[in-house]
Amino acid sequence: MRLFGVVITCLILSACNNTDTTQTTSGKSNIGTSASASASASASASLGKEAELETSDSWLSPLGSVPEYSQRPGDAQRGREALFNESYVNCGIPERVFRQLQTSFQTSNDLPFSTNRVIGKTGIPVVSSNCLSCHGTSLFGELVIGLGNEFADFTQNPSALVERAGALVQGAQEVAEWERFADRIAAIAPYIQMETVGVNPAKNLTFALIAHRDVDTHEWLPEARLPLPSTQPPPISVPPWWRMSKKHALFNLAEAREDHARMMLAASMLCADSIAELDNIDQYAPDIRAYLSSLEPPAYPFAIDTALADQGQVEYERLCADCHGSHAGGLPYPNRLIAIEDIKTDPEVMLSSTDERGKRYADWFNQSWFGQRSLAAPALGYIAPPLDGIWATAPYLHNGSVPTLAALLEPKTRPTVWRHLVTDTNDPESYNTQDLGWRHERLQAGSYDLNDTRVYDTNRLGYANSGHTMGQELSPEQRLALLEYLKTL
Amino acid sequence: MTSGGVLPQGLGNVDVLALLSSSVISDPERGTADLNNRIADSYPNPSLQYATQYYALQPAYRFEYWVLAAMVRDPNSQQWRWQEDQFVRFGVKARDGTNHAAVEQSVSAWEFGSIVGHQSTTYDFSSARSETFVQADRLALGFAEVSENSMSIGSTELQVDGSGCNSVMSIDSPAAQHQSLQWQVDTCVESLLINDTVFASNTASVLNGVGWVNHSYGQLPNQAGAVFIERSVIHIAPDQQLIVERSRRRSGQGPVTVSGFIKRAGVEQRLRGVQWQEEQLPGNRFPTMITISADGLAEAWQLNVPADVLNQRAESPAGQQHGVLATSTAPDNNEPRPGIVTLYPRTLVGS
Repeated sequence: MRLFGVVITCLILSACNNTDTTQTTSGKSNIGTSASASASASASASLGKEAELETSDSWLSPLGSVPEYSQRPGDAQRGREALFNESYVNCGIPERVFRQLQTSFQTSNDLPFSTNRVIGKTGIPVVSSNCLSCHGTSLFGELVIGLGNEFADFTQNPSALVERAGALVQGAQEVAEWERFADRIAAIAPYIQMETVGVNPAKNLTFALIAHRDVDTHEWLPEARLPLPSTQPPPISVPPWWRMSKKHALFNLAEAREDHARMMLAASMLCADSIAELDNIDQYAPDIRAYLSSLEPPAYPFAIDTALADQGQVEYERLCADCHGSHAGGLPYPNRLIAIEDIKTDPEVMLSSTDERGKRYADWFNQSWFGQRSLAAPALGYIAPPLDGIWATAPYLHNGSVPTLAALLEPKTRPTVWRHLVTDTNDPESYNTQDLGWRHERLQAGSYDLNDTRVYDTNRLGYANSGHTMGQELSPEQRLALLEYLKTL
Repeated sequence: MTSGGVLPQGLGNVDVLALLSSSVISDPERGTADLNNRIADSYPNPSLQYATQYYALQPAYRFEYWVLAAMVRDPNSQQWRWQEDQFVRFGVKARDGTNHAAVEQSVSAWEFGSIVGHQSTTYDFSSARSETFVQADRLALGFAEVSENSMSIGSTELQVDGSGCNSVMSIDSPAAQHQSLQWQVDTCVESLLINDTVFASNTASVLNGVGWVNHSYGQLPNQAGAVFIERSVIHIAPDQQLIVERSRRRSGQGPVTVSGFIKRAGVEQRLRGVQWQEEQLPGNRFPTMITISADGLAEAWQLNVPADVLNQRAESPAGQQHGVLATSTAPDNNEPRPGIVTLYPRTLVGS
């Protein structure tokens, strides 16, 4: 049931990346911190609630290597159980209504894997979205936990969907639970509607929630206290969780630093209305982080030409490993932030976090309960991610603008306008094993149906497929070999 | 038919139709006769029957609804070739003085005459286009609402008379200065006579035609939800429908949301930027114009509710709330389409 499953947990995208196994009980101590990053982190961490930053960009993280931060220890098994059972998102649709809708739409009686049954504030059960709304995909018949949902549909007005469910609520408790959820969705709905199926509004969602939260008490504010984000949310392709064990900071801008478990609790900003609630969730957040960090990428399920892949490994080590890390015992993943001037990919995601509004959101975060352990400090560039399981994560670039790895490595072939053809990720025929990506079709710019939400138009603001031109100078043979090797990661 | 008022049990909760044949048409004008033939073709065995529980207790089935539909024509204008289906759903409770004790003991969920949903469809045979306006709760699933303020269309009433042939049912809107609707079922002749008089600009248009009534029943529906949903279905081509929904909370708080989609050959495509805009003149109780549009859709549909047509003024007789006639402006020629009317009972949304 899609009614609201995709509505709220895109903010869990905030829980993308994490550091690896080096864990201490100190949430604030840094390990292996570079001098510049340490200075930035320390300066930001020392900010009082009324403190003002002195210069326009002193709050930003420096480019280059991202330092490693110690993380609170956690139990991965308990974390898995918490992921599917705990009420870190404790508002939603009353369970009775949810099941009635399931019946109406003739879906299974079982709750979808992307939902949790939790007890709402009135004491009745409600169905809320869990992390897997955005971080889980059923792939070729198996649920892959941590694989970003590249077909989630955020193009609808989520408020319209939730309001419709309100026609079924009964009694004071159900009405209260539904209204609490619906009011918040209505408040943020204008800022999280995307142009295209598959891309995610996580960043804008977090910003809109921050605008509606009191920095001291975390109370929900019906009227936004901070400026609201753009109604054209920058698109984000959801990174996979299994890379978290390699990453020192979360998100495309590596802006989520220090204690990642607490940073992940941005997922609770929709519903948690007090510091006490957040503290309760924070008790098991390190367990969830530990579980996410334990995940492994799915193996490529189709045939691999190992001889060709061996040739491709040479190209990878020569062309890719400096930024993305070696998978052959060479340079480990370097956690490198690449300047926007160098990578030249679409800048909108970066701009939305580093402009004046972005700074106010980061200030709120760092001055709030979240900032007691974690730090929001974006950079003027994008992180080069690890490429583990990259075959499964199409489409590519941070905004999902390039449908296949083949097109990514041969920029002149990237389609300007393309359309998803896939409706079932369980169907192996939906996957293009030659180009490595989901099947799609090229369209002519300006000649498609504007109401077709499966069309990705790279001419839209934030949707450009520019940049990351590495690979354009490869010969066809070298490129084929590299693609074959990428299947093995 | 069984005389004596109590009908045989055993038909279950299948919709039971009272249907008339084409023979009752008063003016066998050729075009109308064609329409009647279409009805007859659709209902090859037009016998009049009522639901089995009609005069009986309904312990298991507390939900009733009635569907009235008709083909009518305006003898004053040969251009009018349209069909009006009017679906009115309400619970039945015997009026005082009714002779049927069983009816008096009915445990219907609603007070007599309460409207729980409405659908009005007009069909223009000349252009093969039609408009449907639906107002209903419960996600437009067809379930009724139970509200403290029972809804009604005018003083629409269901009269049950046990004399003679035991069933004369009529619906009469007393807004005589504007409209008079009288629907009668005469079980003796197994026919449903339609007399619909519409007054527009002080000119009466008498509509005659044929119709049928559907009475059904079922389980008690859920209590009312927190949201009203209005649904408009506009048939923009023989195989295309524009379907627009608007939700509003009963509390008056929260957002008003509008969404819509185009349905082509059974395939739905959502629309971006769906707009439902209303204009309401001062002193009027209802919108005077509703405009439905969407991004990327060349057509913008307007439902016009002229202030001089029906009951726009608050000072309606005896405080009754009445239906409103709306004319649809065709997007293809920007001309009001004569004869296309949509009954728009604003009272259904609890005003």
